[in-house]
Amino acid sequence: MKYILPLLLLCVFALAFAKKQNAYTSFIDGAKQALPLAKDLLPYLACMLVAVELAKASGVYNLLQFVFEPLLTLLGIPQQLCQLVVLKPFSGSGSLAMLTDLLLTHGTDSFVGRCACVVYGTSETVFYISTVYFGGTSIKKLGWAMAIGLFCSVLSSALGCLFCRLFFV
Amino acid sequence: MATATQTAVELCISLTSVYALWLGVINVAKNCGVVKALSRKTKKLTKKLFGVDDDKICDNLSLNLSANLLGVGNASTPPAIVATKQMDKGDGKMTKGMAMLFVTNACGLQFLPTTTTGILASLGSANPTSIILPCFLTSLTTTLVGILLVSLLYGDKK
Repeated sequence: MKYILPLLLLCVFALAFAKKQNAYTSFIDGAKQALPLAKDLLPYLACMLVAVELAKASGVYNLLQFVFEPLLTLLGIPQQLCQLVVLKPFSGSGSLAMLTDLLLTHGTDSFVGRCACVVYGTSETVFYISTVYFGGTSIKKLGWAMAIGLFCSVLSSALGCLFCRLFFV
Repeated sequence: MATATQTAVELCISLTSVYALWLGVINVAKNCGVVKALSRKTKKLTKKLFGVDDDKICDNLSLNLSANLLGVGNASTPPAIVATKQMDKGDGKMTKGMAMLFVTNACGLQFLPTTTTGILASLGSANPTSIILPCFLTSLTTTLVGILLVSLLYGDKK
């Protein structure tokens, strides 16, 4: 596994060489976007991480966990991931904040940490996509499409944790 | 509470390094025509999957799919928005193609979850690439389930 990334990068640079593309300028142009992107994300992330702290300190976190625990247990999702699973369809920066919090609390190589990574890494913010895609069209009600999108979001959480159990336990 | 905002700052710095690497590498691949080549290869599949005949719409759809697979998020959204508009007949009805585009994007299938592996690495994980396979298998399955459901529920009319 550890050779995947170096191999991939070598392939990309070899391809640029073969296609007579200037890999250096291409890389610089892409990497240039990194700082503005992270800079724009900072206020949202700061706000979301404060919200996570607040929810933990005030007990809202425990309450939410208590309400959703039976459902999560049924789906085989560790209960610590409750907030991440619930928030995922609504907010990208919110779930990123949640992922970081979980990784810092439970450790990057823990079972909960890995489940959190897979839950975060396998689905998009469904509600955000729906507004961006359909905002300029005549479609006002998404109906079944939204139901399928949300179902897939929950399914990816359950399935992700299942695969983690198969791979890491 | 200030530790929370400090975490945000540290996370953004880690993300800058992750973004700088991957946006750089992905841009090299993009300038070599990788996205275009992949979307040309997937065009036939796109036509069947979305039930769309129009060549222009198909171009946008396969461009969106290819960019998603390669993890070029910011390159995948514009063609998706254009394609949704092109498929809109103005009658407020969701077509199979629109539903399919929305669901496949919501499932977020990609070869490499670069943000996640990047954060793992920056927080000191011993094996950040270990989550690649479970991630891929999970989103592959949900994408297939999503496609199946859309075909079932929107299948009779194109």
